[in-house]
Amino acid sequence: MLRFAVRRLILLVPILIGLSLLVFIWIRALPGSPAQALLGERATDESIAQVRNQYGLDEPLYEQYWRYLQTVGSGDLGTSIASRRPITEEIQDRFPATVELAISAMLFATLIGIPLGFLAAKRHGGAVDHASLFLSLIGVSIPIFFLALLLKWAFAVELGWLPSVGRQDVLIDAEHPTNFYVLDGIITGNWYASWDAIKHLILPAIALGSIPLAIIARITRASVLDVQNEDYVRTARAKGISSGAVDRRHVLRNAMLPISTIVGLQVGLLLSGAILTETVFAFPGIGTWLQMAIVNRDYPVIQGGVLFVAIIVVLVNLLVDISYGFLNPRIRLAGR
Amino acid sequence: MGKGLKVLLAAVAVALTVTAVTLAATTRTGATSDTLVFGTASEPTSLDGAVVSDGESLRVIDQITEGLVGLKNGTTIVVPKLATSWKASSGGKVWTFKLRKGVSFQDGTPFNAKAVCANFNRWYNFTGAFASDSTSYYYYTVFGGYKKAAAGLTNTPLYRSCKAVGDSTAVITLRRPNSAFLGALSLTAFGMQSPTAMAKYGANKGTLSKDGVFTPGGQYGVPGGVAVGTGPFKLESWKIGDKLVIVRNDSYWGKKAFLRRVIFRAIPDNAARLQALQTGEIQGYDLVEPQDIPTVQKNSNLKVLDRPAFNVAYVTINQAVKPFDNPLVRQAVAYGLDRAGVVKSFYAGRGTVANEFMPPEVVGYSKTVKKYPYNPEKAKQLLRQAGLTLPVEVEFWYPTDVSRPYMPDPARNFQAFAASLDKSGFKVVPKSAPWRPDYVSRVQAGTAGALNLIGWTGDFGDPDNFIGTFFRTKQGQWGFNNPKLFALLNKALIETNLTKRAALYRQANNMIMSYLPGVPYVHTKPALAFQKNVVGYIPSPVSLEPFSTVRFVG
Amino acid sequence: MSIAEMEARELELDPTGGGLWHDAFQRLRRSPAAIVGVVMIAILVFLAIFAPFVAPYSPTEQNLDAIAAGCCPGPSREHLLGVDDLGRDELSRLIYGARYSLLIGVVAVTIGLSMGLLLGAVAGYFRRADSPIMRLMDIMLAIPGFLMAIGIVALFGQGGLLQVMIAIGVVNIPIFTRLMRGSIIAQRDNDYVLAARSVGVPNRKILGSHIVPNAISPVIVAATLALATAIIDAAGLGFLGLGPQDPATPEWGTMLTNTVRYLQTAPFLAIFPGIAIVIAVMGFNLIGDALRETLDPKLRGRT
Repeated sequence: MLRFAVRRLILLVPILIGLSLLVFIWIRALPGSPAQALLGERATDESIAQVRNQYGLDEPLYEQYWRYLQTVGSGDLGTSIASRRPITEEIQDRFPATVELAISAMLFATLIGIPLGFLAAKRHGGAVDHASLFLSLIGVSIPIFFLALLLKWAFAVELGWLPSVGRQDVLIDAEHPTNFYVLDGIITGNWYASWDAIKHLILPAIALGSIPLAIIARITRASVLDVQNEDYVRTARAKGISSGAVDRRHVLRNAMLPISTIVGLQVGLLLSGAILTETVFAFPGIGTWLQMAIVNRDYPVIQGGVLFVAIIVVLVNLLVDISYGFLNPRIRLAGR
Repeated sequence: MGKGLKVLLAAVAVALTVTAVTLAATTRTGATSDTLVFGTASEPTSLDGAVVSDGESLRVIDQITEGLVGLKNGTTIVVPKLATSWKASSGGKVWTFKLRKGVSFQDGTPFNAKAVCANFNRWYNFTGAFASDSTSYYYYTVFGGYKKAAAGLTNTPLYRSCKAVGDSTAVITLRRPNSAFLGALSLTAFGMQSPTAMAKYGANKGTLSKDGVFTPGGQYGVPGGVAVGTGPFKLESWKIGDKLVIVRNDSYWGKKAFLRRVIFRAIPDNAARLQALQTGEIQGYDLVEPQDIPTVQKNSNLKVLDRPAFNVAYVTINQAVKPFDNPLVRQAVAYGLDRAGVVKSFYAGRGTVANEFMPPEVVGYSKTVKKYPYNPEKAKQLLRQAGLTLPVEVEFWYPTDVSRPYMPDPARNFQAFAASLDKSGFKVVPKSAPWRPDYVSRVQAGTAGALNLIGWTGDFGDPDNFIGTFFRTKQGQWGFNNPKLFALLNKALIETNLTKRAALYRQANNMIMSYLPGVPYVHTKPALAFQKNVVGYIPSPVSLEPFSTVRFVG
Repeated sequence: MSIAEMEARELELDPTGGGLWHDAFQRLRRSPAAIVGVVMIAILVFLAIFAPFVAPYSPTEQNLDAIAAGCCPGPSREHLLGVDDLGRDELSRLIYGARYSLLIGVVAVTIGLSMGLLLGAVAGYFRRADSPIMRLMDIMLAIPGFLMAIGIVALFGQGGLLQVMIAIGVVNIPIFTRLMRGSIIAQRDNDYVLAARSVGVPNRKILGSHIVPNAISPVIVAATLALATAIIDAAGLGFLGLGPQDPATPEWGTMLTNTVRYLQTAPFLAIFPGIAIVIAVMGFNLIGDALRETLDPKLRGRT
């Protein structure tokens, strides 16, 4: 097992190097040179040459890349052109927001999706089954920003039940030691702040969770149907074990394996969806930050931010793979 | 179904119901009567007035600092502020300011003539990253240069020196007379800041970072830092992505503010700002879009405030692109733009068709300029007269990711104009770019096609701030060289006799609208929206609006 | 990872051989979901092709007088779905919009499909090429798909139909590469392949006439589902303003962007294009799901 994990970790190295190279090349392929973006269109030829020299933009590409790797390696991601702040600082502000949102979305998706899929499988062909199939069809067919707009319009604007923008009411004097606002409220004993942060999370989480919800419900249904027909389940039932116990001990437990992988594999999907969800709810997360950086050609942010996000995706996928190895005895044993 | 699962499902159902009921029952946190939350379109870039030019920074700084002169609330009339009186001598080159006594900066530093000179000398002595037309935009625009010429910029400094005569007299000497000088001093960029605080927190430390971005090096004016003026509010805290808080300055020299705190909260999306106002998360915001005004007016808890029209939106015609150097073609453009239709349908009654490059309220507005009503047939005829085969292809640019008071939805204006030009013998090739960093710099550099959409909001009530800024020098945006026009505008700038000056600007406006460097199309009254119980907010043509007069009623 | 990728993964778990086509067609005909899906898409294709005859007005003809009183008059007898913020007939724009969404979807998926199949076939068949190609795919998958699409559009300097198609196409490449490679590896060592190789059939021919045809059915399912996500992603890019250069283009996603600002005064302007997108996407999803069920032998015993 350890060997399996180590092998996966080693495989990560070429991917990370490739990623940094890809981002590096991409930035240089964007229209308009970095020097020009820094100086604006009115820059004179001399000042461009000066900046190019100052920042080593006139060195050979491989030397620039090497220097870039060194600075990134030392944890320095540069300074944002738009906000004039260090990128690492911006990530500290924005990444927790997106993580909080993604966790809420997955919580919503699993809490509704698994029971729904389970019920659908148990009542295979019945009304619940059809309803759940229809629901998951809608879930994967509705554009996330359209759903977000509808939710916002209905629950924030028309009904006024929930806040429409941001992460927390500005009137609350909350401290943010971790920048995970819900957690911050609990740590500092400010329950009201936590509750308010949760309220700000509900609508975005539902919008963002709609797709994973549909997929989880679908997979749960499929794997429960599969497991139900397995011999050991039939045997268990034949032995007269109560159906609740069978469900608990065999069906759900065995169905959890594919479900948990799928849950883990959705990080990328969540981050893609976060861009649009955050835009609609003016939620200060990492998605809108990167999107604006690309639109505004904030080179340092693109360079540092995209790399950061990609590394997170790779790491989470690795964790999923390893935990999958733990859960699945076949892989666990094969690794020995 | 298993019992355990049933219990689980029941628990989930109960939890959801409880949540829903609690949500419905929880009342929103209303504003406390001494705190106002104002929704802004973006975070300020810095709170050091000398190094910013964006409206959101200026709005906050204007509450914290004050200039030697100010504007009467809601007008562009210059009134005393930190200077109680002033006098120009030596043909308008020497300005003597008598200063208000007993005023202190918020950090306790006394405000006196030395502090005034410290501020003026700071601007004049800017070097490096500070001495650039993007960092110290307003200083460079008004004063024309620094002590040491900055690379790549023409350097014609207006300022010569500042002398402190005792504590309460400051004498400022200019290198040449300039009639726009006094009005310009009302700009937030020329607010007086505490020399002690600026030195202590490194206001003049600023570097080009490793990435070449201007970054304040010290703790002055930055998020989490300080900014110190003499104004009715002082900075309490600023955290990016969260909020900016200013609190009442209880030792203010004048009438103290009603509100204890004002919170600025950045909500970039316009529709989101409206919704935040409706849900009570904010109590006011600026730049309400025309189509949202009926929504605000219909809501019995909300109200709309008008800001007087002090802007102009126009279509640039770049004469560097052929055949637009031909006056007939430029006239065809003017006749081919359905300006009346756009103004009537898109501005919800808040716009008037613009016939020249400055609003009627400004001195020097001419009533006799040549006018160009929408006339597709005439446009076609002019194009043929110019010897062109129809349709004439024209690259027409518009900005994305932006909403300006004079142009709430650029893509919409663009589509209407493109359609009307297509009917007038042109064939429009649509092009767009994000407002920042591409569009504005492209327009200024003259690389945004033959035609493009842009506009201007006045900073102070002087004609030079409109047509002088546009046409006093040769500029890439317009791509023309018209020495006669340049000379006329430069003559008007140094003329100190008001009547003569007005006549010169009227003459210039007539000349401009015959020459037709571009086509102005609208002046708008921007709208602000507030909760109904917020009173005392006085909209100003140049957006210098004190929060100190604002309070809650009822 | 996009939804299409998720679903492709499900397919990968179980690469099946071909030879089910006749049977599959029979079963498809009996699946109500498939029929609904086919009908939805057929209607859209019909509207797209015959738009000039079906649409009551031109999609770009403006009428500024119609909106002088405020934006925007809702459904009426003259304009069944109302008019938009430039006085254009909303119904006509939606009908013409079907052209763009279908075109973007088909071209984007074709780009992703052809590149992906090529890379996947090479990776699966030539062991030496396998590792580099798959590492490249891993790298691409590490960047969230939609973010990558935005990034690719940015490379072109400005948005546009072609840019959107290419961006979404490139994002789809890894899905098909992995799928194709998986199928091929599963078949590489099959008896008939070994037999063909032993009698000296060249590699290219083995790939073309034996392996690819047998690996194609999961690819078809994945392509149908990828069409659905391509349409959603295209709308998303349009929503962010990265769609067609000419804002007058009646592309559904772009239509949504420009009308979000009227959500309060004229919500129908946002709702109608939204529904149009949902219909197109749902149609492809229904067909894709039905195809998967009919082509998957494991599921065949059921229903």
